[in-house]
Amino acid sequence: MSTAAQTDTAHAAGTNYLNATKGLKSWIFTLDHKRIGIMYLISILLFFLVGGLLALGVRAHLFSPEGATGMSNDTYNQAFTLHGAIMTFLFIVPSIPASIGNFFLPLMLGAKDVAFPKLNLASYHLYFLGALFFIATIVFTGLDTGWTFYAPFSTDRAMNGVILATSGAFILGFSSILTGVNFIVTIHKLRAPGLTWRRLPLFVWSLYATSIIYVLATPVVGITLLLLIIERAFGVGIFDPALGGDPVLFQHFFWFYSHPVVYVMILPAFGVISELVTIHSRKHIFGYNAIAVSSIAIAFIGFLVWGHHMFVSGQSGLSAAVFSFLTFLVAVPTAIKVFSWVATMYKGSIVYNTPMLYTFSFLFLFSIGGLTGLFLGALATDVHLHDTYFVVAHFHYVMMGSVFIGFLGAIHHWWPKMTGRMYNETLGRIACGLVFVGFNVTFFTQFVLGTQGMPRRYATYHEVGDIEPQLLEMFTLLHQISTIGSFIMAAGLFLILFYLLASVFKGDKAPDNPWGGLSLEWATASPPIEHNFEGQPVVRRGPYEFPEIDPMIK
Amino acid sequence: MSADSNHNQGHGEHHVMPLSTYFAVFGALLVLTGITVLVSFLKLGLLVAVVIASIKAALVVGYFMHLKYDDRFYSVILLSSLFAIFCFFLFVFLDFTSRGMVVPEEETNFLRNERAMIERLEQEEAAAAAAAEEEEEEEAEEDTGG
Amino acid sequence: MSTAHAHGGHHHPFHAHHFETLPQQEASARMGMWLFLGQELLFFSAVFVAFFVFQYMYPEGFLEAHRTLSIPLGTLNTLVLLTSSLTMALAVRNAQLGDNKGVVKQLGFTIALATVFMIVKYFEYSGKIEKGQLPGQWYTYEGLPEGASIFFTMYFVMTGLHGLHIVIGIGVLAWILIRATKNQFSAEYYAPVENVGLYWHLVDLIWIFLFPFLYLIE
Ligand SMILES: [Cu+2]
Repeated sequence: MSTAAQTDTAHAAGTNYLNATKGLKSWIFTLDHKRIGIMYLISILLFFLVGGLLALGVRAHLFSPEGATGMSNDTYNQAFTLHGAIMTFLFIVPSIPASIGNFFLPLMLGAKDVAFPKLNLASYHLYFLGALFFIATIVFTGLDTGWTFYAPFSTDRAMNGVILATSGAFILGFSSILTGVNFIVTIHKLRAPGLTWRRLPLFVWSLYATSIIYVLATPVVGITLLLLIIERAFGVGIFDPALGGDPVLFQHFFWFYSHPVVYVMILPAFGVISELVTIHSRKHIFGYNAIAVSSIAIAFIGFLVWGHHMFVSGQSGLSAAVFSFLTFLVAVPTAIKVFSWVATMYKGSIVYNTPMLYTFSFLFLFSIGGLTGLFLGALATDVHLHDTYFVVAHFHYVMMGSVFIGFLGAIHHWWPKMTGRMYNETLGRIACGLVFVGFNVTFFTQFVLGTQGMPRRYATYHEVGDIEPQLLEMFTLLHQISTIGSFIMAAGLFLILFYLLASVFKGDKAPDNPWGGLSLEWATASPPIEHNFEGQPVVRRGPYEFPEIDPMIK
Repeated sequence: MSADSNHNQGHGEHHVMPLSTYFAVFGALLVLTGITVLVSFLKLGLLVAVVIASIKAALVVGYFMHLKYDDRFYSVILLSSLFAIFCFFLFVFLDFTSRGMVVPEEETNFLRNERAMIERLEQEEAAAAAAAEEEEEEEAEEDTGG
Repeated sequence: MSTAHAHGGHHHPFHAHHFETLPQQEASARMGMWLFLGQELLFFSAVFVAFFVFQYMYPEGFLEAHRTLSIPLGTLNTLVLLTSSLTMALAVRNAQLGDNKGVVKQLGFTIALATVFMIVKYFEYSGKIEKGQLPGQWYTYEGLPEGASIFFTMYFVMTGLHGLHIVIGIGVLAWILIRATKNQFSAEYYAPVENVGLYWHLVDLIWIFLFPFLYLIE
């Protein structure tokens, strides 16, 4: 890259975005996308910790059929509700785009910042405000509706936290929308000279598709939650059938947003994997156009299939069948991606480092998560599996096993660039193994539980229906295995926290380009200087044309 | 910068429309408003109103909002949101208008029929209880009678 | 601001450092606004969907309830809003020509018309409140079939959200007006006027659909 010589001098001078200005205020009111990305990263991981501890509480409780922790049923309901709500609204929706995306989008484009830096800061402040509402919910009121806020339970019977939590989610929605607008304009207007659309890193393509969904789907959940607040606050009938409203309408509204938003969660992870798989296999990406276009296709198909969450809600049989059929369309672009990643690795010189181990974990877990999705998309099987642990296992494979694993892969891949430090590679591999094993032990058992008929969201299971002693024994055993798995996973995650924090203080200095990447973020210093690049970088080739690739396998 | 044009994709200089265009569009909007109010007394229904409103909207978007002369990408944004809105209406109304058409409603409408189901179950239970009581009474009668 | 700009030379006071050129910055602002408008359309589409669903569920109630709305007042407000759209468009045109005085004048008209709209709305609302044609539990009006109270719920939600947009609109119009009195806009820098204009036209667009659906359709 033309800027390499200049960045080395900046490196020597020792000023970068981290030490350019000092003090808490210089962070809270910063317009630097890198600092905003870091603030997002810390906040998001903090809420992951809160949501994770709640999950451990839930798992511990299920260790015995009568409930092992002595939590009351009401407390249990709150624990799983807050786990779901925090993980969805505060962790996984903003996760990769707001943290890694904010940090790396302008760097990958060769820009000095995102298009609207003040709006970007406003997004973060809105995120923070929304988070305060959730904290208030936890501290003052409690919430027991499940993260979906289904009416009419949420409109009159549930605990008082509904208004607080939905207001929080409403505000968080605005944060998402502003981020989406910002990213789309940035990608359109701030690309470096020579960075054509077909030379964009695939992570940028995935952020573009994500932003489309942020902009087009989030407003609907905003209005849904607003209507819910109006109904609950003023006793006006909109969703409650007792007041003349319609609860199925709520589900339509809610899932019109919440289905597309699962692609908000997974698409950035797809983008991360596209980057990781090609850089750590030292191989040209297979099917660049197919991967890029399939991201956009997923964004749009996402608006056609939300009814598969409502097969037993009372929607008409015809529309359930149509939704079921359309749901299978999603499998096409996702399969294109998976095949392209596998084909990319073919005959590559794969480096088995921590980011690549996360890539392998992702491919394995996402395949299981994706294929079990077909069971649930098929109308006939879903009616039986609905509201069982099969569903829980499925979305944890997709949400945690894929999105979170992708997030971890991204953190490890870009950690040297963000902090300028290398983490301990050995501990990285051990932790990845622990998380992978713990995850499968936790959630694969839940597929079995679900097919055997264990319903989700039950605080105790010693009196599920007319449960036979044999089945109860099996449920107990599987739940116990699952709980043990979750603690293995937690051990792995705390290990990651430990060595990443340690690397900040004691880690080796990271080189500017530890993995030999070709996209622009590797062309500046580690950590980057305040304005990203010395001078305007110019792009002359695609992001994956590694010079050492054997032309025979290219 | 000159090597690549993507920093200046827009249509560069701004198109200033003559004043007459503004007033012509405004006139058309007034006329269409008049028509839509008059037509409403003829009770022609939804379709006419939607068509007139769409023409008015197109005039506002095309001329007042300069979409006709602006970057094509803005039209793509507009069409994308219209696509999402179209899907929204299409599938919600597919559901509400086809209730019970292919599959009988009581087989799918778990939520709406819940109250009816509970009532039916309670009636059945009551009937069963009544029958059981009768039987018991009969038995008792038989006992005393025998 | 250590990085040197490729162009150097002349710098517009409102040119942000991370944009190469001012036209690039102007185009970005406009694109951002269009994306925001796309978001707004989806936001309103949800209440429209709810409105039609309830109309489908309670055709009788909706028909009778909508007849209680005043078509003259609705038409008046439509004309007021359309005219404000014209004055707004003319304000943008004046900005394109660098005529700040013209911008101030047309924005003044626009704000005045927006205020008229809200005053008419106030009279409509107070009439409804007096008669008890209100949402849900406050509905006390008699003689309308089932579903009328839901009609008024939707009426107040839809016109209320729209009215909220008008009030916000008056705020941003005033902000732009003040900036125009300081002669801040020119033929090369007028994106704020244009963006506020786009927003204002969107508010008008929503009303173009609200008016026939609420007031007119039998
Ligand atoms: Cu879904």
